[in-house]
Amino acid sequence: MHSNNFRKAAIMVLSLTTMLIGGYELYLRHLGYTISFDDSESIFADKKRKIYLPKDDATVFIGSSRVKYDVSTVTWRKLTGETPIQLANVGSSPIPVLKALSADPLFKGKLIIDVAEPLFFDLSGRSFERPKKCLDFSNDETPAQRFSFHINTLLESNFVFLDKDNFALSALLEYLPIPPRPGKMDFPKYPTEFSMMNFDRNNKMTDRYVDQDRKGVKMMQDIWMQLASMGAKAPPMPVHVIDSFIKDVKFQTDQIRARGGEIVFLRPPSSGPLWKGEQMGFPRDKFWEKILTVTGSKGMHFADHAELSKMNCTEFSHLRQSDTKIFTQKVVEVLSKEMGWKFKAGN
Amino acid sequence: MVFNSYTFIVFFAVVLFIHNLPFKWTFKKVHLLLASYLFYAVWNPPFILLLLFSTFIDFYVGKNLSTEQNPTKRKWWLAASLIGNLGPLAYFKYGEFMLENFVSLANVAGIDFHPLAPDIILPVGISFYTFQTLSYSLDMYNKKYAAEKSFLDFALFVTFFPQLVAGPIVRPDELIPQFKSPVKATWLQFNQGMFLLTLGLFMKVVLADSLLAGSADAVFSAGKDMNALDAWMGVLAFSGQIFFDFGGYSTCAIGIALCLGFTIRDNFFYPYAAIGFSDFWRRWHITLSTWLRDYLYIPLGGNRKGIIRTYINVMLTMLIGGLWHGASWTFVVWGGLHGLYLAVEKFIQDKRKAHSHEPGPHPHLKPNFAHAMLTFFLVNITWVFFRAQDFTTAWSILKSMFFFGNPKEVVLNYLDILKVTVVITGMIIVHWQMRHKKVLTVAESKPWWSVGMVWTFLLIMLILSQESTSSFIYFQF
Repeated sequence: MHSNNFRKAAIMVLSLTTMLIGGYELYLRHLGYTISFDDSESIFADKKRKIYLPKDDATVFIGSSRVKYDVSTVTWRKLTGETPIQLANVGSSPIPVLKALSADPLFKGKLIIDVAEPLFFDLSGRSFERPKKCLDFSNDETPAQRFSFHINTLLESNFVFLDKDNFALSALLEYLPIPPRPGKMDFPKYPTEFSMMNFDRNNKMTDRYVDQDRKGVKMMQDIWMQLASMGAKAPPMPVHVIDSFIKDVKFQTDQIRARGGEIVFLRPPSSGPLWKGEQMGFPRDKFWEKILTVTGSKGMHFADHAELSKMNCTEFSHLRQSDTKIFTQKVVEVLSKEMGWKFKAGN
Repeated sequence: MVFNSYTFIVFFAVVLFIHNLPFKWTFKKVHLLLASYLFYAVWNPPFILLLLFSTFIDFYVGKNLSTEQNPTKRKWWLAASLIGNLGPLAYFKYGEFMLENFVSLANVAGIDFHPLAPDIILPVGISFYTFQTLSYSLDMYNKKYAAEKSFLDFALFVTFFPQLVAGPIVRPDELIPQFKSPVKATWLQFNQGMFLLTLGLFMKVVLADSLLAGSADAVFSAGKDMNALDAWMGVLAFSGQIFFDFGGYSTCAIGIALCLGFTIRDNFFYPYAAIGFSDFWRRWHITLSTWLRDYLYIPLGGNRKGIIRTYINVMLTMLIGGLWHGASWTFVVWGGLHGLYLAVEKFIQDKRKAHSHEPGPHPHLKPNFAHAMLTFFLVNITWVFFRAQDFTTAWSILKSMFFFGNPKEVVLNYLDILKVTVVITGMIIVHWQMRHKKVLTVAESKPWWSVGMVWTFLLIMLILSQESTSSFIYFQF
């Protein structure tokens, strides 16, 4: 091929790629999709770097998707004047991150630990995988990876199609009409608007998903119930195992407190049969109360607050956006009025 | 820094810009050298010292070897280079492995020895640049060419960023002469380089990471016997992943160098179209296999010391080649299997030659697709040991592949099986069709718009895959 011909091909590549990717972006925007960040190890590492902010400047959240969805970081920032540092991970236990924070002599800030009992008390190790991966990345992150993260952030802030969970090649392939393989348990691809994430790592379900996507809501309800039924089939945890586990938690929380840190346990809402199942599987007196008593910590359980206990999680496990604002307001109010937490904004 | 990262895009854009400014050639070389150090340092800055150490020692040894006539002293200088290069490699790459084996031996001997587990970080690409610099000292010792006088050119040869951390392992006489006079890519070279860079990234990001890695990881981490289909799919996925990952890196490296105006030789040549194992090693990781041939197999005596020594030399070379890949007995078995295949192939070829009265190739040995598939099948068996983290896993996968696993245990879903089937079938077809061709030659023979269409497809898939910053498998070697 003549040099000129390769140049023509290169010009064609640039033009066609710009047109096709641009068209895809416009199409997704036309369908009503908005910017959502990938919940990558890099963004976790970015948030984790902020844990050393002064105690009166920030609060760290650890746990599962419940606190990631239900605490609105925008509302938190507005009410407290402080930075919410979201280190929770979907489908995960807070324990690996709690251990990392307690082992870090420089961390002495405010900490909220989300208790979603099936994950908090999951000792199988499965719910440790994601946080461990994030922590490992955070410890080993190279300067090149950090620089890439900043460029990626710039791009993700501007392009809807840069959403790996929903619009990447691997996600698009999951839309192929392929039946499940007998003997292989796989969850279907989560509905696109079930999980949108902002730069604070705060997830949300869009109103369109909650109000209009009946099939998608039913899918998530079925997934939670399937997971709950799998948990229900597991043999009950022996009391000495629970005691030993909580003793470990106490060791971690004591270490943080000894350095001047403050800790509160938080039980966000769940609804319907999922909430009933969680009450049966993890009776409050044997789990939630025990955590608070043994660790000598204060806690906020949604069921203790009339306005929160009335809230309905559409897909049983997470609050809709408008409710996350109310929930966050209540959390801030309880923390400042009942637990003596001081916030910059004076709530 | 990995090629499949935004950091690299910015880095490469800046390097290209400066390289094409009207500065003096020496300035441009200094710039390339500093860029190469930066490329390496953003992974782990202190390990730059290892690179510098390797550079200094081989430059100095090379200089002395070129003037020293006393054979004993020449041997001492060579020993200094071997210790200086292989010492750090032994410590960083094989330290833990050697300690583990020493502890096992001590325990077997009844000595209760439990040392603290060492925490050694493996410097990225140490095996590659060690072999590259070592080849210079060995060539100097063999008086292959004159010692390099310019430290700048030599340092750039050691650290040239496109191939620094995962090859191709370039020989001094291939790269250093290119630094002697000003080099700037022509438009054709630049566009071809960009095409190769896109192709290499497509191989790595789309095919290896996005479509194959998941299935390979799922099967090799299942930790149980499984259905034969799943085991085969996992192994085939890995055979594709390792090729696309490493072949992708080499293609990127060649493309990046070409964009700057430099030529680096091929490292892969459609290996899964190989007919037999000598052919496979002429197509797979060519720069390593030729390195092992020139600096290990031939010095051991090659095929010049009788048939038995030939077999021993082949086996030794492949065992060391296996160990080069990683500090684990599974890699040694991988190398050993390849050595065994090569030995059996040589044995059969020698027997056939002895019985054939016709000149030229044996009529029944005319290369065909079935031979290539038999080679591919046997290569896949070796990949089990290469990928498995231990022998228990390897044995479980092998049992499952040959229907001695648990047929009810399924690991992959239909989508995974579809992805592996489509990609591996496509890969075999392309390898077979292209087995005597070069990608750029084929591209040059096609109309510009068809090259443009294919190139656009590669780039769009690359953008859509949104897989970035995962390391290349060969970085750990």
